[in-house]
Amino acid sequence: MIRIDFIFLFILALITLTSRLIPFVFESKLSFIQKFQKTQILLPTLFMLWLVYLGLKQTPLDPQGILKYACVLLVGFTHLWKNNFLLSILIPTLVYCFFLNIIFS
Amino acid sequence: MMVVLLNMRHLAYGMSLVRQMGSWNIIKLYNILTLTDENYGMFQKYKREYGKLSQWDTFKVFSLSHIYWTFGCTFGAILGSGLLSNLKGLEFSLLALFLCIVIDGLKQLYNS
Repeated sequence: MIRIDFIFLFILALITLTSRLIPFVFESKLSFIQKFQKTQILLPTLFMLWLVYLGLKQTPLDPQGILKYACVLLVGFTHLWKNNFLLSILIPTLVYCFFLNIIFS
Repeated sequence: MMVVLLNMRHLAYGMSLVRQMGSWNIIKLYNILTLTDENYGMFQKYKREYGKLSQWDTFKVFSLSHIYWTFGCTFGAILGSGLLSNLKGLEFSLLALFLCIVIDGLKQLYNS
């Protein structure tokens, strides 16, 4: 069982490292992307947006779900206000954990 | 399949950073292999604030992040298996990170 887990983790690590390396292996062919400044920003942003969607798509509209949506808004508000990654992640996560573990438990 | 799809984001990070990691050497290889979501977010932030980031500066940021990551994961695993095993909701921090990168990206798009 441990051996299978190890092989599975090894494959996951290999996929991750390969996906990081591929664009740079072909960077001479991909260098045209540098000319399109907006594409450089747009591609990762779209992927992140997709991950945010995946994180929220199964969130129901019950009190716990509304709490999650409220904390998402809090992330947006904190980041636009302070522009600090640590604060924007820490404050809403603590608020979410507090409500989830104290109020909703 | 889901793992492959999720890892596609690294392709997007890489494509947006081609020609920005300097010439090929062991430092560049290290910088590429440690290009996590957090490192990408920090790279974009520093690039926006200080202009172009040198290979050595990138290495300093990424290697520190690597150390934090290793100790943080170990510390988190120990805490999570014991003291904080019943704490729910910590996974929200990942969603918050993705959202911060989206907001930063949208701000950059708006300003460019």
